[in-house]
Amino acid sequence: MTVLRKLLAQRSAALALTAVALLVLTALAAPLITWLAGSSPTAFHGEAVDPALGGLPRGTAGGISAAHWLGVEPVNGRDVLARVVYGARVSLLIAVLATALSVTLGTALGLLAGFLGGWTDTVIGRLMDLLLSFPSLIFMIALISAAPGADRRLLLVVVLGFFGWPYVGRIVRGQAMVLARGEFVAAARVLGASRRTLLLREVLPNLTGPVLVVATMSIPACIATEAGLSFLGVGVQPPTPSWGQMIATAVPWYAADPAYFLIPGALLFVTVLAFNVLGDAVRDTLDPRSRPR
Amino acid sequence: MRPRRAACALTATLGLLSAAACGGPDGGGAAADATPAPGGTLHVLSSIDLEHLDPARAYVTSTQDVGRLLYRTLTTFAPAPGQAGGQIVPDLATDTGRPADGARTWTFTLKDGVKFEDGRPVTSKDVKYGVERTFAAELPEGPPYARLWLAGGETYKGPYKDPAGLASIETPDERTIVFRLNRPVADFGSAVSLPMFAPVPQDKDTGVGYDNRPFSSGPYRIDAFEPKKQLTLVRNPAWDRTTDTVRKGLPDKVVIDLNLDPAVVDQRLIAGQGEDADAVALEPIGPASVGRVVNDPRLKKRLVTGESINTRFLSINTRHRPLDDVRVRQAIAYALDKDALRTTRGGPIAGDLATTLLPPTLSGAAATPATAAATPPGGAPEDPYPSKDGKGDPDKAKALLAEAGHASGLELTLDTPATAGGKAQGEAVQASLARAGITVKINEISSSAFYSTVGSPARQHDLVIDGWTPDWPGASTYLPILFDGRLITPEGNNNRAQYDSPEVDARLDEIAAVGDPAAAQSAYGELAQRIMRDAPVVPFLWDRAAVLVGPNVAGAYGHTAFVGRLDLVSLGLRK
Repeated sequence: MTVLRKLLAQRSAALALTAVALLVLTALAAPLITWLAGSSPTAFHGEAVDPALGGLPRGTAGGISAAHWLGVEPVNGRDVLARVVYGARVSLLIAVLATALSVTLGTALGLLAGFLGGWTDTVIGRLMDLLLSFPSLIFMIALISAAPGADRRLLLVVVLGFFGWPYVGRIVRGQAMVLARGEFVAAARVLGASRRTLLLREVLPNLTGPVLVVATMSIPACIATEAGLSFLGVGVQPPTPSWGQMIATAVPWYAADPAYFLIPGALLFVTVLAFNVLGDAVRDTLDPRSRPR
Repeated sequence: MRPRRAACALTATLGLLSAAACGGPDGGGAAADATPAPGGTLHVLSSIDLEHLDPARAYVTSTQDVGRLLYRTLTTFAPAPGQAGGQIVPDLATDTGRPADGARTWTFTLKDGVKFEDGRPVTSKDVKYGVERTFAAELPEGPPYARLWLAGGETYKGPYKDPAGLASIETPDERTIVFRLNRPVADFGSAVSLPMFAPVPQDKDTGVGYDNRPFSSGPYRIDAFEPKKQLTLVRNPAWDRTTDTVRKGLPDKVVIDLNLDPAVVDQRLIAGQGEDADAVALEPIGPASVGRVVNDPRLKKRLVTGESINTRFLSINTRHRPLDDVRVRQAIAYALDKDALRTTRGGPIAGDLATTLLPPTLSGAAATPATAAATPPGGAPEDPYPSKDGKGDPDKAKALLAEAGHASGLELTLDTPATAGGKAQGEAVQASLARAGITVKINEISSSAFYSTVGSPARQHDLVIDGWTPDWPGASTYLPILFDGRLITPEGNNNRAQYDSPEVDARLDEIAAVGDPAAAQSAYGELAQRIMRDAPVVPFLWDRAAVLVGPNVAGAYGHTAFVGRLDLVSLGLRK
């Protein structure tokens, strides 16, 4: 827990950590929040919008009122608060699971490549190069469109995780190569430790730092990519709310109803920023060389 | 329901075909007052792609509107706003056709001096070949009238497989064409206004590839075409305006930008700066811009409203389980929130809520005292599935579902075009059916492939957001095309409900044999109510179109044949 204490000592990191914690809490408590606010993410509220003006929300700032705390969506009158908190669930769930997948894959394969070397390294290394040089966004769009019937959330996790692992793998491989030549590994080897023991007991624990850093950095990247894919129309399927989709629908309304654009946009911005600041802080804390003296 | 102005009675199509438009209250607007002058470059900003330029395949109103710049047909719609636009006038032919043999034989004489873009004269053989092409299996999307009505049409396989041609189209000389039909068709002179009756020179036919480069007989020819991006039209030097009473051909050049973001189109036209001053929108204004435009008197002047007789509806695939149970379909008809659907299209500005299949002007409600008694004067027939303000009646729907044994709910898939509007409408259907316990999954289909996908019974799902404009005034190109069970085809199918009722089929044949148009119209009105009881579709909107034009554009009016879209052939720039 020294890492956490060190993090809390830095003001920016403490703020970021608070923001992240709040966000996770909001996502977990989404049903409670909508129950308190008396709203639902999918119910239409025709009376909250003015059909004569093309479905513009009635009232100020996108229809903010006692009934709809963050206003309503234009045209259909769905509650924005309910949609952003449920959207947080989708964004976070996909980002965390995709990161877990890419970190697991990346660590395992990177470790093997770095520690074993030889042809294992060649095969895994080339595979990582191949994936890194791929126009992954285009490939993701194609892949997701090609499987229309599949569960989009699961598909997004798999696709994001699959294209994310080489970034983790490269860092792990580099670290593992250095560690494999370390004196403590040589000592363990001389004492007759098996390859498996060397990998799991000697090398892997020393990789916790870099892996943790990559993971914290990967979560905001996944959130942003998921929002981007949803924006492009290949994200989660309607009516499941997602921030990217909300931003996409809000684009034509930016002049008529700016609040509808600002709310999910600001949330996405704060979330990605908080995770990035946190990631930076974790790296600074774990890696003595990058710490400002 | 507010009655539609009687003067605006006309026809419309396929969310695709022809429609009746009226210059609405602001319709003529500033744009129509000024006189357009020749010259300049007209820009058309389109948020959609052109589905098919090939005249054999053009069965979508937006493409037909553009096609009228490129090719001429035997007859066409008058270039006029309102009811007058539904009138059929001669185009390639010298008149609207001469029937003989009890309307079984139709003769047309081509005008002298009409030329293709390379200067060769348009002959009756080119028209014959153009019609024969539409029989080819490779070019499936067009209207069915040729195979339906021409003698021997049911066995003819098109000129690629059968170069001998179709014997029932005779060309006694270069300027005379005779169509021999298998039944009396009183409005065949209207049918030949369709692009499928445009001339195609055989040596220029490139089969499926003709779609990208149709050979011009109109005022413009294709200079460059990048599908999904841009179509550039330049003057056709061989076009002689003295032979053409319909097309003004004023601008020197017409540039149509395709697949633009709808919001970008609205913003550019609202700003109206630079080239955009000379621009018009192809599609109606988006909901997000309605508030801004109607609140600004100067912008409101540039909003041209055209009425149409297009009916939008939700098609229910009657062959899929459990939709083969009429109670389930009726439950959907009760549950659907028509008002929410209209709001996704821009609210009341987008039209009136539909209560039945035929718009009041087509239903023949006023035609006979018998039906007039059953319906409010001039109003639409009663909705068999009424709900307050068209917002749906979930309780009724639930009761019907429970009766059909689906009390625990059911799951359906809805096909929508992958556009912002398509998704918004899909979500409105989803939310309103959810109130009755029906879970709807939305299947988004790329808009250029949308109609070919849902027109294939093998590939379509349970529900489709659909619509129809009769091909010319009257219900004869509406009910028989959409609800005749014998016309369900494996590709290019228009009966997307796959509705197949021998009783209705027989009645359609009876009405087709009725000679008196007024009697036929009222019979169609009654048949529409009969079909509604089976609920193969749920009508929700009778369209109006509000289209933005740039400040420097003149001659703009909404045309009934194109669902209230601007009549492109009359547009010009102010000088």
